Amino acid sequence: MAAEHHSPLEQFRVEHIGGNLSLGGYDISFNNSALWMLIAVAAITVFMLVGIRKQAVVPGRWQALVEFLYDFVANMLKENVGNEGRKYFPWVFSIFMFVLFCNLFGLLPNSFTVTSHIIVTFALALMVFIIVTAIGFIRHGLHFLSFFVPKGAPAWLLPLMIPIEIISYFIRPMSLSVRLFANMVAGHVMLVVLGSFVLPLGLAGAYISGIVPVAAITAIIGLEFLIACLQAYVFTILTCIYLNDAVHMNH
Amino acid sequence: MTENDPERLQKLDARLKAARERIEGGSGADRQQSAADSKLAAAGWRMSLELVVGIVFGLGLGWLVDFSLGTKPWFMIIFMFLGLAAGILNIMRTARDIQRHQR
Repeated sequence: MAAEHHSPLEQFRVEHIGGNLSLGGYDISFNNSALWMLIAVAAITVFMLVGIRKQAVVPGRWQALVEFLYDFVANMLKENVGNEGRKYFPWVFSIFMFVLFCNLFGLLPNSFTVTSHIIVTFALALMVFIIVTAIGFIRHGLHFLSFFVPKGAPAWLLPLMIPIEIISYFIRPMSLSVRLFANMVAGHVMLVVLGSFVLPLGLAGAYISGIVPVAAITAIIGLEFLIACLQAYVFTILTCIYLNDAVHMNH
Repeated sequence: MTENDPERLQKLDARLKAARERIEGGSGADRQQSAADSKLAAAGWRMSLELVVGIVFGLGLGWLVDFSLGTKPWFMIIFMFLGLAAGILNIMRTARDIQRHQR
């Protein structure tokens, strides 16, 4: 068993499903990452549609869960953006549900964690960045550029402060994507590394010693569920905060 | 006739009340506490990366400028410090947000 190559990073390998397709020199084959994205989207659709099917006044468990998630994101938007944020709710809610479901599905055995690839999280973060910037320019026109001029700074500091403000604006999509990706990768690698201890330790000592890493995995799986939800929350709340900056133009 | 036994109903009432108090009194405060905790944890996650990403972004940008202008180390150094400052700026804003929410 141990002779087989089981790198902890093997779980992140993208594999083609079906034949190879290419379009204009780009590889557009269907792969397991895309498959799990589709599964997440399908699961979200089913989850929401079944949850709101009855529209009971007194919600059942399923409906209560859907309503809880709705309220959660709606309150987040209201707290951070105010009433103007209401019309961006569908977008923010979609981001939240997609990241949450991708994170949680990654914890299923033999699944693929979509959010463990930085290109996926970076694409999400870049979408947030571009849309938020577009909203800023649409709402305020060129006046949005004054967002980069800090208020109350003395004039001689401006040549220094404006580049800093611009850089701090442009590192947003990077920190947003790296945070989600790094958390997912770290957790999953840790689980596999601990999992690889079980058999050698169990064979080495009295069989009892194999229990130690199993206990650690059990604890860490719990932590991973917390992190999966927390990172979806962090991603969404940062989207709300960036949205607030674009809508209200105050830091 | 057991259903209308007043003594039994009263007992049930008392037990219901005790159970409700136990559940709502106990975890109501707990839930609020854990919600506040996860908010702080989220803020911590927000801060943790800003510095690193700021410096890396500054270095990359500086390298790009150097590469195109042929001024080898200079812009890299300048932009690294600008990136560091940008990271600190973001951290300070996060900290101010937390303070504003706590008040």
